[in-house]
This record gives sequence, C-alpha cells and structure tokens, in this order.
Amino acid sequence: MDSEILSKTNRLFWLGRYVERTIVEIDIMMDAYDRAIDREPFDFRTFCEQLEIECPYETSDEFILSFLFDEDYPCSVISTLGYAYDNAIVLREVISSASLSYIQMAVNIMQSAASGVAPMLELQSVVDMLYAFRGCCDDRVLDTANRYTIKCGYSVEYIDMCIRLNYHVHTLDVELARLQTRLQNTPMRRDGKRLMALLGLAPNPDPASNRELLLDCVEGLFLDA
Amino acid sequence: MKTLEYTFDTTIEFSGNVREHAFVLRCLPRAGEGVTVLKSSLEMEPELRLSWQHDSFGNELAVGCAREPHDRIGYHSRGVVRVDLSSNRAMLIHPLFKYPSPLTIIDDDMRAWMAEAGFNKEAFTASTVARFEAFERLGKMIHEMMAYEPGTTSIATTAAEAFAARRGVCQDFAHIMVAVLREAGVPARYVSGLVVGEGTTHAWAQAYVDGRWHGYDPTRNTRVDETYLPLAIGRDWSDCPVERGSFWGLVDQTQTVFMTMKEVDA
Amino acid sequence: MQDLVAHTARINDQLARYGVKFGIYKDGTFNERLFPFDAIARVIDAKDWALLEQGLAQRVRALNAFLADIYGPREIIQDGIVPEDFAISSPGYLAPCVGIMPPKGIYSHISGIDLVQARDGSWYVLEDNLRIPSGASYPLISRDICRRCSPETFRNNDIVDNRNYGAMLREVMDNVNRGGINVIFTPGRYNAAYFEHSYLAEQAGAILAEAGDLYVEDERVYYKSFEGDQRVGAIYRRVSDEYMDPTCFLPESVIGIPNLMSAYRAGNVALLNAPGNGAADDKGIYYFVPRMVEYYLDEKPLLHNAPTYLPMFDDDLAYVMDHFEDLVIKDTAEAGGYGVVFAGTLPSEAREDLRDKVRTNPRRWIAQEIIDFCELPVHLAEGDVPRKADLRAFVLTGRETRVWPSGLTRYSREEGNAIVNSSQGGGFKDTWILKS
Repeated sequence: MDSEILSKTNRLFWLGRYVERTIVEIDIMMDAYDRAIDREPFDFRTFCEQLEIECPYETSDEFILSFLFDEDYPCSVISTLGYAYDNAIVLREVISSASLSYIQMAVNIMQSAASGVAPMLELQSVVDMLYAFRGCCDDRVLDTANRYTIKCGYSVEYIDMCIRLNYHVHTLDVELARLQTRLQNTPMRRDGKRLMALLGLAPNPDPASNRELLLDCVEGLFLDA
Repeated sequence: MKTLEYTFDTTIEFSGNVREHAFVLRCLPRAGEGVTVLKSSLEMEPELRLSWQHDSFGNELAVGCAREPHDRIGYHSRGVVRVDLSSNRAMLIHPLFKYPSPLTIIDDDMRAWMAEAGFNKEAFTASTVARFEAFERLGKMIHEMMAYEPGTTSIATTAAEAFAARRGVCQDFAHIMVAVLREAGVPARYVSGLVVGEGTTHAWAQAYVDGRWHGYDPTRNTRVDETYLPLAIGRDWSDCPVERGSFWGLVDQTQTVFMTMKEVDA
Repeated sequence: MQDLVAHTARINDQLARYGVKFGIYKDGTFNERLFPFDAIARVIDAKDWALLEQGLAQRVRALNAFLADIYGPREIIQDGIVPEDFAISSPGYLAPCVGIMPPKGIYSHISGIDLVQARDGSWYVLEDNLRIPSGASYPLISRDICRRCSPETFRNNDIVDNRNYGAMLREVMDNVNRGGINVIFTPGRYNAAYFEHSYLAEQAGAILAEAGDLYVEDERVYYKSFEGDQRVGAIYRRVSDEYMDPTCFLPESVIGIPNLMSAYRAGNVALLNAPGNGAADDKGIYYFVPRMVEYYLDEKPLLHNAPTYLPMFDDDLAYVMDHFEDLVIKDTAEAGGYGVVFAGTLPSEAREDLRDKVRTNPRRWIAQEIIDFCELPVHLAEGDVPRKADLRAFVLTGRETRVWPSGLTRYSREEGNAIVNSSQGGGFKDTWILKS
C-alpha cells in the first residue's frame, strides 16, 4: 500500500505528455518507414540511445513495427498511447466524455492498425484523433488550471523530444516561450532554479552544447510531477 | 461497592516507519451498568488530536490519525472508577446478542457436548436459582475442560476451533461460553476489560438473566464481581479490539500491553 | 423503430467510441468488453408506467422505513411482522450501523428494483437492490446516441426524455449533503462498473475519487487537491460496505477510507447508499416487502412479488419439497445472477443434492415460482429473435422518492435462458416510457 495514487493534476500533466509523445513518435516513425522503403534503414540504435530506452531488436524493419505496435514493448507507441488512455479514463469528469472519446478512438484505431494491412494509413487517423482530442480539451475543459496543466504536459514532452532527438529543433525557442506562458496557469509547483536556468537559455537554447542541462531543467521543472 | 484506580499502557513498535496511521481505540472504561467513571484520561505518544465517539454497543471510542512517519505509537489510559454492581439496573437488550456472531459460531461437537452436559433451553428457563446454577456450572466446566495455553490460538480463532483444540486464552474461553449460552437461548455478550492486579487485558462472558447482565470469568473460574472493569462489550472479540488501525508501510509490529488496577479508598 | 434498428451497427460504433464497457473477471484476469446493445427498445405505455411508478416509489418508501426501523426501534419485529432472527441474523445486518441515523433519515437513495412482465402483462418484482445497484448509465448514454442516429424515431414517438438522470442524482446528493462537495467514490478503474462511475460523475457534476484521494480528519472527510483540500459533504460510494472503512469493517481493505465511519457517525457526511442496507435487500427479506408496505404506509402494495416460499417456515418447506422441480431455488448468500438454479433443469443427482441442502439449512435458501415472463425481440443479422428480458427500474430518494422514467432492460444471451444478469453475458436495451 505504499504507492500513492496520482492526483488529478498529475494525471492531467502526464496525459498531456503521453499524447504529445505519441504524436511526435508517430511522426518520426512515418518518416523513418518511408525512408526505409527505398533509401537508408532507420538508425534505431541511436534513436534508442537518445531516448534512453531498451532496444531488444536486431533490424530496422523489426524495430519500426515493434516500436509502433508491440504492446509487450513498454516503450512502444501503442504502449505510450495506452498510458495516455490510462490517465484519461480516470479523468472523464474533468476532461469530458467528448474529449475522452477521441482518446478511445485513437486507441481503437491503433489496435486495428496493429493487425491491419496498411498500418501507416491508419496511423494518420490516430494522429487526427489526438489533434481532435486537443481541440476538444481546449473547448470543453472549462477550468483554466486543468486546461493549462495538460498543455504544460504537451510542452514539456515536445521540448524533451526536440532536445533528445534533434526533432524540429528550430522550433525549440518558440516552444520554450510557450511553456513560459502555460506554466503561469498550472497549480503544479515548479523548481525555481531550473525555471530560471531554462528562461536564461530560452532565447538561444543551443541543444547541441546544452543537452544535459536543458534535459535536467525541463524534466525536473515541475516538483510534483 | 469498590473504588478502583487503573493504568493501562499500550505501545506498538514498527520495524520501520509507517504513516497515514488511522486508528480507533477502545481503551477507556465504559460507564453505566454499575460503573461510574470518576476520572479518566488518555495520553497519546506522539501527541495527537482525538475525536470521542460511542459505537453501536455504547463503547467509548477514541478516533485519530497519525499522518507523519513514525515507528512507534503509544496510548496511556489512566483513571479512577467506582464499581457498584448493586446499582446495575434492569435494561432491555439488542437482539444481536441472541444470535451467533462470526467468532461464536457453534458446531455439532459443541452441540453434542452441550446435550451431554445438560445445557439446553430448559436448563436456562427453569427457576432463577437453577438458571444461575447452570450459568456458573457452564463457566466452571469450560474452565476445567480447557487448558490455558497462550500462543496456541489467534484473534481469528472461533469458539468451535478453540473448543476442538481444548485450549486457548481468556478470549477463547469467553467465546465458548458466549456461544453455548446463545445456543441455549440465553442472550450473551463478550467483554474485554481489566481486573484488579497487573498484567494484560482480560476477557469474560456475560449472560442476560432476569433483565440484567451477569458476568462470569471462565478463565479464572469465578463470578465477575466489583474487581472487574469493562472497557468494551460486543458480540465477540471483533467488536472489542483495544486498538484497530490502518496505515501505510510494509512493516512488522510488536504490541506491548501493561495494566495495573488496584482498589483505593473512596 | 425500424429506422433506428437499421442503424444498429452505427450505434454500436458510437458506444465503442464512448467506451461503454463492462468489466469482467475471468480466470483471474480483468477484461473489459463492450456491453452488447440491442436497438429495439422496450416500450412501456403511459398507463402501465403510472402504475409502475407509484408501485415502485411505494416499495422504496417502505424499504427505507424498514431500514430506519431495524437499525432503530425494531417495531416491525416487536409487532411480529418480520421474524427477529430473520432480520437480525441476516448477513446484511451490520452491527456497527445500529443506532446511526443517516442524514435526513434516508438509507436507500438510489434503489434498483428488478421486475419482469408476465405474459398477461402484469409486473412482478424479482429483487430489490439497495446497496450499489448499477446500470443506469447504459440506457442514459445509449439514448443520446440513438437520438443522434435516428431523430425521426424520437420525433414521431412521444417518448419521455430520460437524460435527466444526472440532474436527479445531483438533487439526491445535494439533498443530504452535509456541507462540501459531492464525490463519487470508486474502487478504481478495474471495477466492473468503472465506466458508469466516471460517466455518472460527469453527468452529476461530482468529483470521481478513489481511496487515496479522500481522508478523514476530526470526523470530517476531505478531498485532496492541488488547490487545497476540500470538505466532502456527500459520498455516492460504489465500494461495498465491507471494504468501506478498514478501521470498522474488513481490516485488510485497501480500497476504503480509514475512519470514514467516524465522520458518518458524527453526521458530517452522507453516504449514498447507507451502509447496512443489505439487511433489506436480502433475497429472503424480499418475502416480507409487501407486508412492509402495509405495515409502514398503511397502503395496499401496488406491485406484486413473484410467489415465494421460505423453507424456514414448515408449511413452505413442505410445499417446496413437493414442488421442487417447478421452482427456482435461490441461494441468499450469492448475488449477481449466481446461486440461482432452476431445480427442474438439474440432473437428478444434483437436484437431490440441492434438495438436501435446502432441507438441512433452510434459512439460506428461498424458492420461487417460475414466472413465465415475456420475451422481447432482439435484433440479429439473420432476423429478430425472442429473448427473456427483465427491467431494472431506478428509484431515487431525495426530497421525495421519484422513479427515473426509463430503466435498464437486460436480455439473456441464449434462447430460453431466463438469467439476464450482465455478468452472465447478456446485453441491454433502452427502455422507453411513452407520454401517452
């Protein structure tokens, strides 16, 4: 009985993170899959190192499919979406049935994609559902604190992925500025020192040289998360 | 009539820290039915706020919660009471005391024993004298039949199990007596409390005869007199625990109990 | 209706979209599956409903009076209407609740009464559920979806809107709230009815909470939140009595709120439904409900029980033994469609076995005449088929006792099977009450 139940605020934050992570990872995998068709295989070992995740796979093709659809692989996209669902399902009365239904549909489509013949086509629909979810939350979550807590989750995850994977790195400063606005409206407590360091780096983050510092600041930014 | 002064100290030590430790204590004397509480206090260690309530059986409860991490908790109950059984007035009872409870369920072996020893409905519906005689004979027979052997039974042992093993502690003796009385149609209660002397808490049984509750102590083979002080009364032990708690932490716990009670000048 | 039925596939897609699920444990693992929905609604006309409505409200008023009585003065026992041992030694009669008067004296706020309709059109009550009856959320959400799929159906038929359930529930909670927020207390997302818990929280504007979200301090309940802890005034709890408070009931419960009973005892929080209600929805106490109506309300009972026999009475035992093959035998120690046996369908050895059990432990069993209740059409791809169906009506007690103008109609999975419980694999239908 020593595991504390996550508070709703925590769950909103993690819901945001997992939704964002699913979107980014699908984006990366669709691109990787496309390249692997007739250009170079996906450098999945570096990818895993950058994300600091286990990599029990041998080939690029094997990795891409497992990373997308293997429910037994805890770092897979389908697992990540599952974690988003796990948080969403216990937040129904906060985010509304309407918002929750988009996560539910994303899960349903992801599952059918996993067993389908043209998985990449269906992945686009998963992303569609997740963007619909975000729009619906914007509209239906009336409590400002709750709404912004989810958004903080999006931002933190997006920044994390930017730094780790060099993903859309030119947008990093914009996202940092966005996070700065968003965190004014969440009740989560933040680490003052890390926040100051992050704000200092925001205009010119230069993740190539500041990788460790940036990661530490963004992942440790919220004390309660 | 006797005036009694008691001390009752319980300490629970945990092998590691626990927190969010909610508890309900039944460690204060129960006023009424011949008992008048002249003075009583309860000191908690660490210091905690308590709420005072009564449960469905009229027992005094102290309810609280130690949220901060701690590896021991103690409660120290002190007081002075007057026990005067001649002032124990006739009262109506709740029918719950007529029927078997989880720990006083009876089995065929016990029924056979009852039949052989003559503890049937008739024995308890005859003349007043005969009823009291049967009541005391029952306590005496349990005393003689059972071996007092601590460690052979647990808080979950039922009357039938203790009876089959023919051994146990005061709690088991009392459960058997309560179970037999109810089976014979006599409403009966389980009582946990203190007896003049020192050591640990004690338990005994009560039967409802002629509109009043009368106690018998099958462990010490004696009628309950004014040297006995009830802390909690119920259908069986499970209604009367001195302490019931719930906490966070995977630990072992050791409970130490020490009580003293002596007669003092009024 | 045909127009609506044509949309069956689309309706089921929508139900999947909203995650209308029912959890089930099989071989120790938890699986959620969709609760099959049949688009052909059960239709009850206004005249029939008026009788049901009055009869159900009457029944629940009597049951509430009974609970207040047996946890208080026990007059019905003293007056010899209900045998003492039957009421007091029932496993649902909880000693820790004796003498506690719940806020406004209401014990059963949300009651689920199971009925069937016989072929001649008359209704019979099969069971009262006064602890944590579930199922209202299913017809509630399916109505919303059906209206979207086939607006014409609802324009052309004069059907009472049932989507006020959330508002009714809220009124019931507000009525007994002792100051603070309303909370729905769930055992967690692996509970069979989790969908319902979360959906009703949204509909009633209550907070959905699990054990770790709530705590008791100084005889008051609080909900932990980032904005500071909030006082809780009413708890619609979907956790059963024995798990509700480890310092009072089962000590090993990890889904309960320690010391909750101290707040309840002090009158600082309302629990919906009150703990201890099992004393009135025991399969055996059911026998006495029509007598309760006469005793407490001085009214003639408007709804009938299925003819029932209590083997604990000698006359009844003799009848049961003589007509064993024709009766349904129910084990009072089981719930949820388990422990219900049609004696006539048993192989003879098992039947004699059961007969012995009834003879040796008559208090544990009840026997009922088999009601040949109506079948309703269920739509399948190959055509409509008849299935046995019951109706769970929801009766809500707030300032007054009101019946929700709808209900959960459950049908059995196989033909001829008369057990419709959702844990046994059946499906559900919406229930339409007509305005005229």
